[in-house]
Amino acid sequence: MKQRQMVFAALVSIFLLAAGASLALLVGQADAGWKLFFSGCLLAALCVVQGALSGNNRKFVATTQDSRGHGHGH
Amino acid sequence: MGMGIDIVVGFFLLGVFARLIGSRLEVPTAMYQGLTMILMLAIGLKGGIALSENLDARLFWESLAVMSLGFLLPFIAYPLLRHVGQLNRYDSASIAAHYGSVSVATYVVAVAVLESQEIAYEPYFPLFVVLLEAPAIAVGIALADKKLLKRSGKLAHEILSSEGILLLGGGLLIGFLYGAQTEKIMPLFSNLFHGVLALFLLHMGIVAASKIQSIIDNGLFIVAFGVFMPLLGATIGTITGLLLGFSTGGTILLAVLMASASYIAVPAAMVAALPQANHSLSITASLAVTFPFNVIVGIPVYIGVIQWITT
Repeated sequence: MKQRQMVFAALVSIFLLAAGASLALLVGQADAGWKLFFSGCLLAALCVVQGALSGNNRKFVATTQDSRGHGHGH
Repeated sequence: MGMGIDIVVGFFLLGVFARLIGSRLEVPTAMYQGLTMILMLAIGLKGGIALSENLDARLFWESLAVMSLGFLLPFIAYPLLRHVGQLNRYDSASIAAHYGSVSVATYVVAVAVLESQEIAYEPYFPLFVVLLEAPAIAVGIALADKKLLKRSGKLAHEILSSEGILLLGGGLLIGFLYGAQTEKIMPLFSNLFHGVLALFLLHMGIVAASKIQSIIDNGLFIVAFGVFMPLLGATIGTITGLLLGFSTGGTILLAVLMASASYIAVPAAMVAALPQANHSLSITASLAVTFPFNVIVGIPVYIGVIQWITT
């Protein structure tokens, strides 16, 4: 996952959370507002999962390269 | 309204649930095609009858303004896909064309919700649905490669012969020409409308849920884009609707049209014009992300916000 894509997804989820909460609490459109808020929660959860997965992938690649490097040394 | 969800949307959720639990429930292909025909002809006929009663110069300028939005949206979507999504030129252009065009199914759901909530709207809106199908396709192709526009003859045929344009445009023309005489055939297209829409949405729910693997494969950006673009489009549609002096219902319908993304007419045209593009990417975004988002979340949000603005 490219960093720019990740930042965009995170920004969209923050926007959905903020817009949903404002719609529900400030405008008085509770039904529509909470639906928007909930979709923001879903997208935020996806961002966290994706972030964790790409973090693990990076660790895995780094560890593999590291152990290969040691292998060459021996 | 029950539990905050319109009854027809309940059928969409039933389709999603059926697929998620691994049920073999399916709407037969021939039946789905029949349902699509009835829905598109119903919308076209209704719009044609209204058009015969409301034909004036103002409608010409409204049509021009609405069509210009079809040209504008791909120009907004393309840089986002190209520079933020870092997709290649062909994929970006193809997806941008999908989001500049409209989804008849989303429009039909919005009409059903407006009618169930007794919100009045300009009855000639199906004309805009027809007019909005094509401009984005031309812009999408130009964004990918201007030279491709030279093959416009083949492309024009592809667009005009697509089922959406034929049925909607044909219904519009028949309704316009025959006016009150269409009453004879309206029991099929009017009285059964909501029942047919419920079955159609059951099928759409099954199809959308079957694309979940494709969402996972295509990544988070497509999901974020598929949610962000309808909100941006709806905002542009709302501002235009208010500037044009549409009623609350008309403004809501324009917002819904701008928020929706095509998944019938445009994919067919894009496969013909841009074979290099990854078409599963655009179908996933429009059908598996934007359509469910609009039906479940978007339409209630656009109604809520626009009603708040106009009252």
